Amino acid sequence: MNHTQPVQVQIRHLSLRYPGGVQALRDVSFDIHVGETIGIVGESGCGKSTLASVLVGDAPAAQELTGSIVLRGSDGADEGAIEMLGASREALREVWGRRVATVYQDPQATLNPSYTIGDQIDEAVMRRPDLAPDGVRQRTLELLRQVRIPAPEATATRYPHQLSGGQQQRAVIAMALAANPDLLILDEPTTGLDVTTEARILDLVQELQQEVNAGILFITHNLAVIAQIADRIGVMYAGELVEMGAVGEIFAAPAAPYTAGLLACIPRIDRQSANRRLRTIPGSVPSPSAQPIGCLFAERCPFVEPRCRQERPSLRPIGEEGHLARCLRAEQVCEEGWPLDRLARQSNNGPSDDRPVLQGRGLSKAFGRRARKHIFFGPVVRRPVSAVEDVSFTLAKGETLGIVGESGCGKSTLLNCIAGLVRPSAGELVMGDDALAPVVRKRSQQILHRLQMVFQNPDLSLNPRHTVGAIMRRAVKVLDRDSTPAERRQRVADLLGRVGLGEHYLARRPAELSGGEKQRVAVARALAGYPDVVLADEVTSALDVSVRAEILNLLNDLQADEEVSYLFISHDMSAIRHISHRVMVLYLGMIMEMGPVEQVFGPPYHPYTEALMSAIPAPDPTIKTRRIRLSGELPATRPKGCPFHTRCPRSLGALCQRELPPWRETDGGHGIFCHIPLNELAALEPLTMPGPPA
Amino acid sequence: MFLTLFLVTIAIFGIVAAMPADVAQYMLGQHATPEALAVLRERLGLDQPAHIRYVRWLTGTLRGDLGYSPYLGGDIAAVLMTRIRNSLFMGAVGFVICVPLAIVLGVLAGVFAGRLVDRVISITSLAALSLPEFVSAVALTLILSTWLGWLPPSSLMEADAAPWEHLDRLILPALTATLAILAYIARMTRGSVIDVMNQPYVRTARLKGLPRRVVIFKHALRNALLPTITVVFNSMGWLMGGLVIVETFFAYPGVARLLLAGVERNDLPLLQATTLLIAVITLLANFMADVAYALLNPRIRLS
Amino acid sequence: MSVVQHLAAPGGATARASAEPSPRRRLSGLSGLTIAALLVVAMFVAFALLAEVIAPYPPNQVHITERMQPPSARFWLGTDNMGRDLLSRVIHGTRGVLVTSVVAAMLGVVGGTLVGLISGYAGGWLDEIIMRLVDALLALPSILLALLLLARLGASRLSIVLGIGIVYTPTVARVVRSAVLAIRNVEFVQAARLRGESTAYILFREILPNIWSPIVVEASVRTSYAILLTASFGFLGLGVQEPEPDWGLMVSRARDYIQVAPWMAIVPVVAISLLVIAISLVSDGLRERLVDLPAHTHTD
Repeated sequence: MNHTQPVQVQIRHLSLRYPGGVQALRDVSFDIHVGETIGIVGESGCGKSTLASVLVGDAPAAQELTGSIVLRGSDGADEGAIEMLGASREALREVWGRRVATVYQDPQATLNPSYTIGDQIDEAVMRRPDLAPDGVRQRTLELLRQVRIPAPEATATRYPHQLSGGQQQRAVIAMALAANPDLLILDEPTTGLDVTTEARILDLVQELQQEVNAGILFITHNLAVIAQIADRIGVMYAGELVEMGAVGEIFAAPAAPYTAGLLACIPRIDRQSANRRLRTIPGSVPSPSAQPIGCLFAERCPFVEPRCRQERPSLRPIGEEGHLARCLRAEQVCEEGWPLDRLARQSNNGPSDDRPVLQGRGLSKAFGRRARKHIFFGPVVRRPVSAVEDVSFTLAKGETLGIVGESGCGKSTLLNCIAGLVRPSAGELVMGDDALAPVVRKRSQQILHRLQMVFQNPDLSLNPRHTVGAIMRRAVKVLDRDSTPAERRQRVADLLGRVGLGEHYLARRPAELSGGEKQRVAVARALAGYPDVVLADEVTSALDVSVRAEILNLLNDLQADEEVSYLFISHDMSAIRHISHRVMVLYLGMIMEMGPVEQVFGPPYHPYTEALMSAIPAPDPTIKTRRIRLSGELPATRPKGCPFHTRCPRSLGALCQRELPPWRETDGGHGIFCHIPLNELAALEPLTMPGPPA
Repeated sequence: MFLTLFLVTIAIFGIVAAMPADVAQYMLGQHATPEALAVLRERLGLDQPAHIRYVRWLTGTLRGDLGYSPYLGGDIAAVLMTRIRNSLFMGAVGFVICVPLAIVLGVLAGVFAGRLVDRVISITSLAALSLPEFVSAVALTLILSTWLGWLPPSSLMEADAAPWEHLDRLILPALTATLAILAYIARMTRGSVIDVMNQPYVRTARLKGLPRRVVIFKHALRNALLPTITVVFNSMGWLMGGLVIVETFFAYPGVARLLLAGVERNDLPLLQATTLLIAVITLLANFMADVAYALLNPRIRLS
Repeated sequence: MSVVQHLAAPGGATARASAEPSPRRRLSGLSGLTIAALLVVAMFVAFALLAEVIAPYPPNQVHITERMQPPSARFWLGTDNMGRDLLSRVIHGTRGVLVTSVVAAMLGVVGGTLVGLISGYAGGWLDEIIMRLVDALLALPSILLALLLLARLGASRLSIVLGIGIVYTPTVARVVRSAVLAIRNVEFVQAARLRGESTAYILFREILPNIWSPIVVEASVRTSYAILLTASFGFLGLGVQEPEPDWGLMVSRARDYIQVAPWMAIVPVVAISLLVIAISLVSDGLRERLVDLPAHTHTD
C-alpha cells in the first residue's frame, strides 16, 4: 500500500555527533511515504528520540549534524520541498506547526498550565492564515471532536490539570492536527499512561491513520504497540538503523540479530515460555564514547564471526522487497532465529506444598483523616480515600502471586501494608505461625529477615553514598544476626554471584552501575537473610526490554533454587503472566478476580480482566485482539455497589449500582467478584485469535 | 498564620520582658532614684507576675494601647504609628523603583542565560546581595550625593513631617534599603525563567511555529513570574531588617530607629511594641504572598 | 552451580554519558571564578592567623603628624583621623570578624541540622510544633531578632556569636528539613526500615550522607550572612568599642570624615565587600559543584 504513495519525507545519511565525541546517530536513511506509519523501535540510548528532535529541526545546538532531511510538499509534491538541515530559523518556523507537528511523552508537561485547552489549540489553529477569527474556535471544537474528547465545549474552557492523562494527550494530538500537517511525529505518546487508556489512544491513532493524510512517525520502545500500529518498522541500536521493513515481515522472520533477540525476550500473554525462562540478550549497549570498530552488536551476538569485528556491516536488502538488515549473516538469522538459552535449569513448577507461608485477611487502608482546606478558605485539598478495601490472600511456599491493576488500584499500598511500611486501617497478616505486627517498627528481627522487598526505581533503591560491598555487608549483618564476620564475607560473595555479579562490584558505587545491575544488587540484598517472602514492587517497570527478561529469569531461577515466594506487582500483564503461579486483579482497592494464572488469563473473565487483556497489544501483527474498551475515567472515589459498574461494558444496570457483587468460586481455586454468573462468563469468546506456534 | 502570630508574641515577650529580676532598675539604669523606680513600676504594672503582664500587654495591644515608654515619655502608639508610616512609605518608594527593574533584569538574564548579559547581571547582583546595607549606603551616597550631587546626603526631617513632601530625601535610603532586594528578586526571577524555559510546554509553543517573542512573553513569563510575586511579598521581612542600618545611616525617622533607641536604652515596652508590629507586618506580607500565589495559579485555584 | 553466572557483564556498563556539553571547568570541577574567590578567602584567613606578622604597623599606633593622609608609600591605604594605618587596622580586624562569624555560623548550622533532622524525619505533631516555632522566629527579620537577643544578653563578642547562632538556627533547620523530607521515603530508606534499622542509624548513616551537600552550601552562605551581621553590629557600635580595629566600627567613625578623607570609609567597606563577595562566590561554586552537577549527570 505504501509504495504506491509518493514520498513525503526523505532522510539520507543522517549523522549526529556531540562535541565530546559521542555519536548519537549514525548514517540513518529511510523514507516516509504519504499516509504511511513508520514505527521506530529501540531501547534506551538507541537514538530514537534524538532522531525525532532532529527530524523536527529542534536538535540541541553545538554539534556536528550531517546528512539530509527533505520534507516535500503536500502529498509528496515537489513544490514546497524544503531541506530541513541547515534551514534558517524563519524557514523552520514556517514548517513548525504547519507542516510538521509533534506529540511527546508527558502530556501534562507539554501543555501550558496557565492557559485553557481551548486557548492553546486556538493558537495552533491560527497558524492557518485563511481562517476568519470566529472560525478559529469552531475549528478547535471540530478538532476536539475528531480526537473523541467528550463534551468539547466544556473541555475547551478547562485547564490542563483538570483533565485526565488520556484526555490531555488527546488535546495534544488535536493541537498537532490543527494545521493539517504533512508529517506527524509521535514520540512515546502512550508511555506512562495506563494500559486501558493507552489502548484508547492507540485506537484513536489507528482511526486517524484512515482519516488524515499525513505521514506518521511513531517512536516507542514497546514492540507490541508497534506491531499493531505501524506499516513499516525501523529498529535502532546504538544510533544506527539495524533493520527496516514491513511490519509483518520483520515480526515473522527478523533478519538482524538484535531484532531477533528483542522479539525473543518479550514475555507473551497468550502462552507460557518454555521452562518459565525467557530468552535474553547478554551484555549491554556499548558505551557511546567507546565504540568498537566492527559491528556494534558483535559483543552480544550469538551469530558473531571474526569478520564481524573487523568491518561495519551496511544496511543491505534481504528477502522481500524493502526489507533491509545490517548484518553480514542476515540470511542465517532469518532461518535460525534467536537461540534458546543453552544452560539447563531446574524447572520451576510452583509451590511444593500447600501450607501457606503468608496469609492476609481483610486488609484495608484508608488515607486522610479529615478534609483540610488551603489557607482557611479556598478549595479543599485532602479527602479521605480508601485505597485498599478488604483484601485477603494466601501465598504458598515457592509460589508467585502476581498482583495486577492500573494506577489507583491500590497495589502499591497493599504491598506497603504487608511490608509494614504503612499501617493498615484494618486486617491481619500471618506468616507461617506468627502474626505480623502491623508496623515494621514493631516486628522482631526473627520476622524481618523472612520478609523483604525489592523496589521499582533502581536509582533510588541503593544508597548512592555506599559502595555495593557496604550495602551487602550491612544487609547480611543485620538480617543474618548469628553469622561470624568470615561467614558474612562469604555470604556477600555468594549472593553477588547468585545474581550474576562478580567480586569487582564490591568496591563500586551505585552511580557506576546500570539499571539492571542495580536491581540485581537490590535482589541480592533482599535475599541476605534467607527470606521466605520477597515483595516485588514493579521491579522491572523501569528497565529496558532486554534487561527486563534477565531480571525475570533471575527471579525465576532463585525461586527454583531457594523456594522463596514472591508477591509480584506489575502493570505489565505479560510479565505477570510469565512469572506468576496465581494472580490477583485489583480495581479501586478491591479484588475483582483471583486464581491460578491460566484460569485468570482465560475465560471466565471478570469484565475488568477482560478489558485489561483486550487492551494489551499483542507483539505480533497477525494477531487481532477483540476490542473491549472501558468508557469514562477512573472515578475519584469508589462508587457504591460494584466499584467497576461506572465503566463496565457488561453492567447489569441497577443491580450492579446498588449491591456489592458476590464472590463466586470455581473448584480450581479461581474466584470472580461479579454479579454475572460464572457459566455466562465462561461462555465468552476468547480474546485473541491464536498466533503461530513459538 | 494566627498560631504563628501567637507564638511570636510569646517569643517576643519571653525574650524581652520575662527575665531581669528588676525590670525597672534594668530600664532606668544604675542612677535612678527610688521615686522614679516606683513610678515606673506602677506605670508598667511590674508588680504583677509575668503571665498576667503578658495578658495585659496582649489585650492592651489589641485595644490599640501599645504601652508606655520612659524614653518617649509617653504613650507609644501615636509615635509608633507615625514611624511605621514613614518606614513603609520609604519602603514603598524603594519597591516601586526596584521591583520592576529587578524583574526586567532577571528576565533578561534568564532569557539570555549563559551569555554576557547574564554573566554581568548575575555577578553584579551577587555582589549587591553580598553587601551590608551600610556598604551600599556609603557607595550610593558617594556616587549620587557627594560626586554627582543629585541627592541630599541626609534624610533628617521633623518628627511628624509627611515623608511624601520630601521625596528627594527619601530616594537614597529607599534605594539603599531595596538594593539587596533588587538583587535577590533579579536572581530568583532569573532562576525561575531558566527553569521555565526548559519546560516541555515552552518547546511545544516553539514547535507550534510561534514567534520567539510570543513564546517568551506569552508562554514562558506567565509561568515564570508567578513565583516572583511570592518572592516580592516575602522580601518585606528583608526590608524591615535592612531598615535598621539604613535609617541609622541616613538619620531617617522610621520604625527601625525607634527600635534601636529601645535597644540602646533598655526600654522594654518600646522594644516589645516595635518588634511586635514589625513581626505582624512581616507575617502579613508572607500570608499575602501565599494568597496571591494561590489566586494566580490555576492549578491551586481550581483544584 | 550458581545461578545465571554467564550473564555477568565483564566490564559493566558505565554511567550514561551526559548529553549536554559541560561548561568550562578546571580543578576538580570548580570554575575559574570560584578558584579566584577561594584565593581571596585564603588571603583573609592568612590575615586573621598572621596579623601580627603581616601588618606593617600595630593597629592602634598613632602617627599624629600623618592624620587623614591619602594612600602613600608609607601607608599603603592611607591613615585615619587618629593617624593610624588603615591597612594594618584592616588586617588586624580580620580576626575578629572571621572568628565571630565562622563560630556563629557553625553554631547555627549544627543546631539547625539537628533540629531539621529530627523535625523532618519525625513528622506528625512534633514536626508541626517545631515548624511553628521556626516560623515564629523567622517572622522577625534576622537582624532584629539578633538585636533583641543582644539587648537581653548584653552587647559583647560572645553574645553576638550566640545571638547570630540562635538567629540562623531556624533558617538552617528549614533547609535541612526540606532535604530530609525529600529523602525520607526514598526506596533505600524504606529498605533500611525493612531491615529493622534504628532511627539513629537511618538518620546518620542513610540520610545524612546524602544531604551533606546542601548543608555545606548552606554553611557557606550562613557564614557570609554572619559576616554581614557582625559588621552591621560593629557599625551600630554594639559589642565593640574604640580603639578596636573592627571593620564596621571603622565605617561608622568614617562617616564624619567622608568629605575630606573618603578612603577612611572606602577601605573598610572594600574589605567587607571583598570578603563577603568572595565567600558568596565560593558558596555559589560549591552549590554548582555539589548540588546542581550531580543532579544533572543522571539524565538519560
